This record gives sequence, structure tokens and C-alpha cells, in this order.
Amino acid sequence: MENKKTIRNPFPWIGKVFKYEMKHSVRILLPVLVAILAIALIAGCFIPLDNEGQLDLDFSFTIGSDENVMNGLAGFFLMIYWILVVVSAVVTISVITKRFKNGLLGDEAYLNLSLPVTIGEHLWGRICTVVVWDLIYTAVMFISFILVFIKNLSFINFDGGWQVWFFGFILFDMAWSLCLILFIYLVNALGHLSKKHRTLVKLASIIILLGFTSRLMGMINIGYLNNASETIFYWNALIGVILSAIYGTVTYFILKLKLNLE
Amino acid sequence: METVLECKDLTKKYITKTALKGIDLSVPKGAIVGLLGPNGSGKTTLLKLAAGLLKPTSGEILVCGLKPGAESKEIAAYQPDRVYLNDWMTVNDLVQMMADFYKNFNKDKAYEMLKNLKIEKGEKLKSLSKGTKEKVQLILTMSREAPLYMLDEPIGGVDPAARDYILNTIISNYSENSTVIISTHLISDIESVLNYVLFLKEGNIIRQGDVESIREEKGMSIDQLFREEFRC
Repeated sequence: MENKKTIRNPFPWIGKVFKYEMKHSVRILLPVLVAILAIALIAGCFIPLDNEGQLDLDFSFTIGSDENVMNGLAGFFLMIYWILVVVSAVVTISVITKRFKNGLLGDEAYLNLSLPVTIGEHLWGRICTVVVWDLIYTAVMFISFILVFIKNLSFINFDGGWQVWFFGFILFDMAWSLCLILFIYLVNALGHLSKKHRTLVKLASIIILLGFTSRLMGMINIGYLNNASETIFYWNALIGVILSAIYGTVTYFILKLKLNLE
Repeated sequence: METVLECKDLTKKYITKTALKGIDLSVPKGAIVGLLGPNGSGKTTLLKLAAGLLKPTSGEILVCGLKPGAESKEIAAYQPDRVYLNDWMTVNDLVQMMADFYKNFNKDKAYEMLKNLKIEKGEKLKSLSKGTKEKVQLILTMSREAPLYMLDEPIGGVDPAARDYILNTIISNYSENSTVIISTHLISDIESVLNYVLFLKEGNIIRQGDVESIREEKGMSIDQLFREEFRC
């Protein structure tokens, strides 16, 4: 007997997967992002102004002397700020990819894959989570820059036509973040095909996939992209989207056709 | 006879082993079915195939008339033989999640069973013992109003007192319109509740039928018959 061919509305199911993915990640990622904003504000408050009211970005100071203490503290908090920015990016990628591995390939998969949700809906729910976190992360970075320069915002100035660059950069950032996450999903899915040599298969997958990606990138006329000027981010975003689609589709078919929870 | 689980020439091969060797079976509606066999006989593989967690190598399996997929998962309830609970949710979060995903999930029933077992709703899943986690999983499964429950080794790793609780939960939540398939090799503990059995041996169904008829025909209990059939 064939299943009745009824059209299934995937959006409520994608929404439910997204809801629980966000619930999982928000516990870890939100405090990190709040910490970035707090440190940015502290650093911004410590950056001294010179006689002309401009930001004094010379962070040198002498140990044991009372001179330039504010410059030293501002430099210290800015260093903490940049460390947090890097750590938060690593933590975000780690949380999202580990959740995929545990939730769809580990013991938790017995719960998640028993839910009345298709593999495609599971993946789209996770893709939405990546996109939303990327937007939140970009917004937090933008706000944190403003906080760092809060004493004199004239330091941040936008040239004419900045919108083209700005939106291009946002698209570029989203496409390549998604591409990186889907690349890691695919490596995990390929590794899961092997029962005994998972790490080896993952390593081989990384080498092969990177080879494939660089070859594909080489086929695209880089010279043209270099001359593309202000649209360069858009073209690169498009390449990111194409690679994401390839990685996502292969992961989908592995999970759909070859998934074996043992 | 209306069937809730049907297999036609169902085969499942792993890389080094064939777990199911072209089995044909029909599980009738409205019965408590024992899926019996020694370790490695293919019980877990059969239930995983029915739950859509494995793909058959060949043949067909139908759950409530549907191929395993999102639609069949919405109808039939499955409990695996392992603890699948994450460590970041509370018991209440998990109940809420089940209610979000399954239309046939009865939240009140789940809360009542949790209360009877003195499991706090706000308790973190990671703080529960393995036995309590297994009870929570059973509560989640049996709180669904499903035509088919598939329970893989529900009494395998728990103490005798917990076994009684689990069997009572199964019996008290089972309605005449639903079917419960219990996979186990601990026959003596569950024989009293079974009314249909399937014997699996090395990936083949070697016996299936009504418990009373088998007892009458063989002149022995299911437990005795099991020990005879699977003598080492």
C-alpha cells in the first residue's frame, strides 16, 4: 500500500524544529553576546578623549606610573573584547554543529527522528537557526562597535553608497556562515556512514570536500570578481549560497537514504 | 483481521550481518504482542524499521497501513531500548515538546503519571537516575493516544519493582483499540499480559500466533516454549 499523496505544509514543522533549536542554543549563546556588549561598553567608557575631543587610541602606558592609566585599561578591555568576539564565533559554530551531531546522529536522534518531522524539515529548521544566529551576531557586532566608540561617534563615518557595501557584506557573511555550518554537517553525516572508522572518514571527507570546493572556486573567474568592485560581496555571497545548496542537498540525501541508527 | 504492522519479505542487512531475512508477518489490532527472541535475533532492528530509524535493504514494512515516515510517526508511538533524553531540558520542557509535536499526546495524563511517580516537573533531565529516565520515557510514550505502541526492551534494564510499575503502566494505558508490541527476552515477567506472540530467531520469524492457542497446542507456557525453542 502506498502512502496517500497529500500535500504536507512543512512550515509549522520547520517552525517547531527552529523553536527547540533556538531554545537549546540561546542558553549558551545569549550570555556570551551580552558579555560582548558589556565589555564593549566598558572599553568605550575607558577610551580617553584628547584635547580636541577626539578619541585617544594610543593604548601605551607605563607600569607603576599613574600616567596613561585610562589608556592602559582601555587597551586591556579592548583586548578582552576582541578575545570574546573570536571565542563567541567559535562557540556559536561549535554549539550549532554539536547539536546537529548529537540530535540527528547520536542517542538524541532516537527522540528527534521519532518526531513526525521529515529529514528536510529537520534540516531547514536548523538552517533557519543558523541564519537567525548570524543576524543576531552581526547586529551585536555592529552595536558593540558603536559602544566602543560611544564617547565620540564621529569616529564612525559612512561614505556615500555605504548601503551597497553594507548589505553586500551582510549577505556575504550569512551565505558563508551557512556554508561553513553545512560543510561541518556534511562531514559529520559522511563520517556517520562508517561504523568503525568515523574519524578517518571525516578526515578524508574534509580533504575531498576542500579539494572539490577550491576547484569549483578556481573555475569561477576570479579576475572578473576582482573587477566587480562594489558588487564583489554579492557575487561571493552567491558562491556561498551555491556551495551551501550542494552541501545541504548531499547531507539531506545521506540522512534520508542512508541513515542507520545503530 | 485488521493489522497494524505488516511486513512483506522484509530484509535488513548490515555490513557484516543480515539482521532480518525476508520476514513476513502481520500483527493484529487490539492485542498486547510479545516480540520474543534471544539477543541478536533481530527484535530491535524490526522495531527500528517500523519506527523509520532504519531503512530496509529490501521488502516492505507498513505501520497502520503507511510506509514509515512523518505520517506514521504521528500515529504510532515508539520507545527505543536506550535512554535518548538530552541533558539540557527539564521534565516539563520535554512534556511540552511532545505536546507540541504530537497531536495525540495527552499532557494531563503525562503529568498525572509523573505525579504518581513523584517526579518533579521542574527537575532537570540530567539529574535523573537511569531508571527514572526510563520511566519518564515510558510515560511520554504511553501518554500518547496511539493505535500502536512499539516498546523495545521496556523492562530490560530496570529493577523488579520498576518492572511491575512499567507493566502496570502499559496495561492500564492500553485500550482495546490499540496494539502494544513489547520486545523482550524476559518472558516470565510479561507472559501474563501477552495475548499474541512473535518468536524471532536469527532474523527469521519461527512462530507467531495467539498465546492461548499456542499454550493449548504445545501444552506448556510461553516461557517454557521459549526456553525449549532457544536452548543453547
